[in-house]
Amino acid sequence: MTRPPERALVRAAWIAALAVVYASVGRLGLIAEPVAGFATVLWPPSGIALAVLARKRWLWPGIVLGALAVNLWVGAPVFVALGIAGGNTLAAVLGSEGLRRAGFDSRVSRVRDVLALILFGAILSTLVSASIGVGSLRMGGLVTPSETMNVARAWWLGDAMGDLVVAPLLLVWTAPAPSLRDVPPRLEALVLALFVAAAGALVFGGVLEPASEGRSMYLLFPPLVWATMRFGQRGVTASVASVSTIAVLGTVAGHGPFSRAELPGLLELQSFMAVLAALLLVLGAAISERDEAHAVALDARGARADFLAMASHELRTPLATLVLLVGTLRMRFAADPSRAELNQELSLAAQQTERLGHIISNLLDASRIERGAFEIERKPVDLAELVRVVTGRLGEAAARAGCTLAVASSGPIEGHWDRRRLEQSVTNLLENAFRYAPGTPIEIELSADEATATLVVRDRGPGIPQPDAEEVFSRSRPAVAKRGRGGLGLGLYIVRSVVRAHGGSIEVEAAEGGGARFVVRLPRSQGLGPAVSTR
Amino acid sequence: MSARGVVLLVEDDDALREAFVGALGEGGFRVASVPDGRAAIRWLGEHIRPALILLDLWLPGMDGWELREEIARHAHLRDIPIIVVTAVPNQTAELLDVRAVLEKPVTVPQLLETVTRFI
Repeated sequence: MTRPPERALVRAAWIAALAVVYASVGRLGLIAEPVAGFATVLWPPSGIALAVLARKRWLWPGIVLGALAVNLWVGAPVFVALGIAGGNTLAAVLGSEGLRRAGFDSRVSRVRDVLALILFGAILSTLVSASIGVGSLRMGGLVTPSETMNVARAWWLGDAMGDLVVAPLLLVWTAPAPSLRDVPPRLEALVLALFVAAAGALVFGGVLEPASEGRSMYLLFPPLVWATMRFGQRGVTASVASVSTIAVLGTVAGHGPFSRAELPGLLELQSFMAVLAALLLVLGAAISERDEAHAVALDARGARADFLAMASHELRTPLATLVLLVGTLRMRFAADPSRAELNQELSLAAQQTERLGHIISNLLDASRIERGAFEIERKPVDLAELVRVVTGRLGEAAARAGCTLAVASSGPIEGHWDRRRLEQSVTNLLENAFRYAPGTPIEIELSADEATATLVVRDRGPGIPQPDAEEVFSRSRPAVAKRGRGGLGLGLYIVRSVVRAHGGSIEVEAAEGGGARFVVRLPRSQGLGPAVSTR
Repeated sequence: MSARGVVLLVEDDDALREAFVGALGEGGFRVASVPDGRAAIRWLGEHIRPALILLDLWLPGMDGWELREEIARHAHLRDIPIIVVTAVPNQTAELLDVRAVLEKPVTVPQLLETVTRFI
């Protein structure tokens, strides 16, 4: 613990340091062609004051001392210097208080932070400093009535520039680095810095013919937008500060698009830079908000996928127990004709446990797909034989749904596919037909050319309205749910994922004569599909 | 039946372990069961060599993978056929260096057929 007297000493030292920095930076700023000796194009101390007070309110005496010192330094009478110092301090206190009340976050990573900075910093607090400052100059007789408006504008815009260029630079770079954004390589930062400097030098450095300088202003935008998109608010604040410095120095030296007439040119430069800084800060904040929302969504998705994986894994143990128990009982009583009724019930129990197994597998697969951990293992497979096996296995389920299954195929269709995944997909397609088109004939057609195998599953149910057609393959299916057809709806989602992992496609269309027609196309060799292993 | 020897079952879930014992018993196998890897090692030290080991992978203490390695270290146990029964996805017999992998849930016919094949 620091004892009070020591703390007071430390605070006094900080206040003195702030006063020295404020006065020195202010003196430097006033070298660059001040208006009426006291108003300058860019007044960095206003930004320093706002940033410092936004963090530590008790440092305000440092602003008073610094402002007093710099104005006495450039020759202002004491009472004028006192007036200016009071105005500058009041502006910073009010501005930082406004920011605090608006819930301002010094990373400036939300659009509301930027808007608060513009409103309380660049617009309101600067009106206070400019009116008190210019009022003091007037009372001291340092500006004539005819100059007053121009000086006030220059003062106001100079302070606003400080709040928009310097304050965010200090705040953003001293706040903890944003963790969401992957930090781009240092080399890129270096190249970007060169581009910013080069664009600034081209536009404001007197390199070009004066006539083309105005037309060259757009050169500033690509590096500034690059900085914003890739480096966030740190990129914005650093590059805007660099360009502003180059612009002020160039313009004062008589170069660049704003150098033509002395005062209006400077005011135009101020407005241009202020608007540019504000726009880029808003853009940077919007990008960072989008990144954050994206990260939150990804987290939620990951958490759901992990939960699904865990849940379905946990469910497998009791399911495995049930399957074995029912299987053992069936075996035990199968040969006993006096237990016909029990056997029938056991067979029903077996079907239901099998169904439960399908649901759990689907859940697990859906979670694998969401986590990007879905793999396929290709081996030579005969699709026609595979379909025969699946339809044979589902004969009982088809009968229960009142469906008949007819397979039309002209012979073996060889390809390199994941057998287990394709069996699962054909099963899911047929179970979908049983569910939505009960009591109707279901036809499966197989065909192939050299490159592609095609599997068509056609039912004669109510079909799928065209606007909803794509939705049947999605993870959540509001349109289907709306029609009151329950189920988790994972089956077709998994089919589509399996087909896509093989580099194939699936679509659903209205069949002639009613019903739905699912068309699956699979490339027969591996080379035609995209990379499939996503782990 | 007893000429076929004993199947050693390593499974931590009590209910599932009983269900396995019932199913294998229905198929005519004698079964000894233990709940984890360490108990399996103890059992192997105290009894005559089993004809086959049915092994779960996720076990408390010493898990199925570790038990598999431990067994491979002992010359007299090394060639006992092992069948893994697991809910862990993407496991293969080659990967685990065992005779077969059955994915939970396994049906009784599947189980009996696989055990018969390797015993």
